[in-house]
Amino acid sequence: MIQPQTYLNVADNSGAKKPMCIRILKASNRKYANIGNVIVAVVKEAVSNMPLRKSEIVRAVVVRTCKELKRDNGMIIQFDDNAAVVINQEGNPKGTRVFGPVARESRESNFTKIVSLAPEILQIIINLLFQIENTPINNWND
Amino acid sequence: MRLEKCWFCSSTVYPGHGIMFVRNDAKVFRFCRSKCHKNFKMKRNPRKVKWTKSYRKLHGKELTQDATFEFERKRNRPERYDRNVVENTLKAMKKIEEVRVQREAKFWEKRMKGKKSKERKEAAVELGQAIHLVKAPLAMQAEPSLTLPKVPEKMKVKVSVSKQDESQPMQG
Amino acid sequence: MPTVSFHKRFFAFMSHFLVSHTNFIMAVAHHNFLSLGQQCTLTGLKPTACHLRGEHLSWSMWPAFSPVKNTFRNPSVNNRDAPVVSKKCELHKPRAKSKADMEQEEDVDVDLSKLNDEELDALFNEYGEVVRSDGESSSSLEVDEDAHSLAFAVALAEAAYEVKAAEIKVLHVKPLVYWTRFFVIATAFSRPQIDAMGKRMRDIAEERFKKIPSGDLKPNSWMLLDYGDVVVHIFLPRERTFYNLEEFYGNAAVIGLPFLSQVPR
Repeated sequence: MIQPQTYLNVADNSGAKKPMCIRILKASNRKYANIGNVIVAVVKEAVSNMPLRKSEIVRAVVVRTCKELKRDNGMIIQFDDNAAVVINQEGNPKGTRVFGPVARESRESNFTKIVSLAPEILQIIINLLFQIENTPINNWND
Repeated sequence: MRLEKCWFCSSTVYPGHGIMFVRNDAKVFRFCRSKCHKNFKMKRNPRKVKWTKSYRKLHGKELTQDATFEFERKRNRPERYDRNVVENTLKAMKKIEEVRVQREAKFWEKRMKGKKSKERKEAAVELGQAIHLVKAPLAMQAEPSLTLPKVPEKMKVKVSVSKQDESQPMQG
Repeated sequence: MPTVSFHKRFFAFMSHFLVSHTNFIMAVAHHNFLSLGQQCTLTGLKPTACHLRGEHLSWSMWPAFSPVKNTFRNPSVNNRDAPVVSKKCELHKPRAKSKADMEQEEDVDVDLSKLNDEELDALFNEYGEVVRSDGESSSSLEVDEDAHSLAFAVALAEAAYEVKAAEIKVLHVKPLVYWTRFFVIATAFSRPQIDAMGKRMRDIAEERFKKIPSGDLKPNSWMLLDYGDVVVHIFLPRERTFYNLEEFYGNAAVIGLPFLSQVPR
């Protein structure tokens, strides 16, 4: 649930520290941005000696939200913080590495680049129900 | 679909229930309901909260080491579907559950073993101390047979009542 | 199926050790399960004994308790007679026996504490072979799929090679990340080349493998084709050094490409 004026954390090494959301892209009738959405943000705080400066306007992808994320299989996921990854106009991340967990939804919304730079992607394993043991259990028929 | 265990109370989290919390170090906590989630947010230790499984196990209230628990384990390798395996597993599950219930009942019995006599003793002590509430001291003096020698008989009545009480949870 | 046999001394030592404990693990577990009416809780196990119910012990000890010879000697027959013992499921083992076996075993009650060294050795010689199900068999499906995606990845890499991409690498990243199996990384030197490469790869994927990538196809200095189990990255040289994916996935195994070893055309 990211809306204009929301301060986020940065989940990459692009040099921004605290971007503030000022616009949600592709959301004419939507109030909030969720995981996988692109926002326009202004850098409120930046690390020195990095290309990104304070008060620069950037695009960013939301990768973690405190607001619960619902998946189609009924799973509800909540993260610790609101975090975004700074991207450029082409959609390539401005940093070279992504930190912290990243939800799978960013891959589904075509940000596989971010996913491939991230160390940990939250996984859900949808396995068979009957995976009780590797070896067959026989002779229970009595 | 995988059935996870609640981080707080160790109950099973069925698909579509509860919430998954992901800390920034990518550790995943699953909660079966908001009660558990709230307790987690209050930074409570599940080992110190009486209603959780971990408390009960830690304090010897429940069976901890058992072969039947070994079946219910997290395995990260998906199993290839095989009809026979499924069939056998389904059969096995029922059997294992049966065994588990029996063992738990046994454990409970063992745990409650000394309880009856303990209760009886306590009741006897209480009766000895508070007999004046039941019978006026003067009346007891008038009829000495009502005093302590009679106590065992009265006790018997009491015990049979408590026995009924105890037997109910066992059935349920 | 590989057979594993244990050293006699090890076995004897272990038996002694366990006999000194009042609860013999496997025996307890076994008999418990079979005769529920009798005393059958494992709760009495001492913690030490419980710890011992680890991998080696339980499955090495088990043979001593199966007086039925052929259960261990003929592993190949079927699961009814031959308990398939895997490291992970030592507790299934006793249960994998047929009912007839159980009855037999109840008749012959092995009392380890009364045996001496030689007898133990003899027991071991008789039953000291454990059959273990090899873990690979169940993942054969996985291997198949891996091979399929590998073929696909190599085909894509070859397509890149045909349009003169540089430094083509195929990485097996499956052990590192869960979301894909192979990375194909290539360098192109201009945007038109990236486009051409992407188009060629898409065509090949669609024609030969019937796969369509997800993601946008706009010209980009880092083109990414996401085929699910194979992810293709095409960089300009500058981006390639900037993002340095090979270093990030440094632990991934590099797959040798057959066409690169051939004589350059």
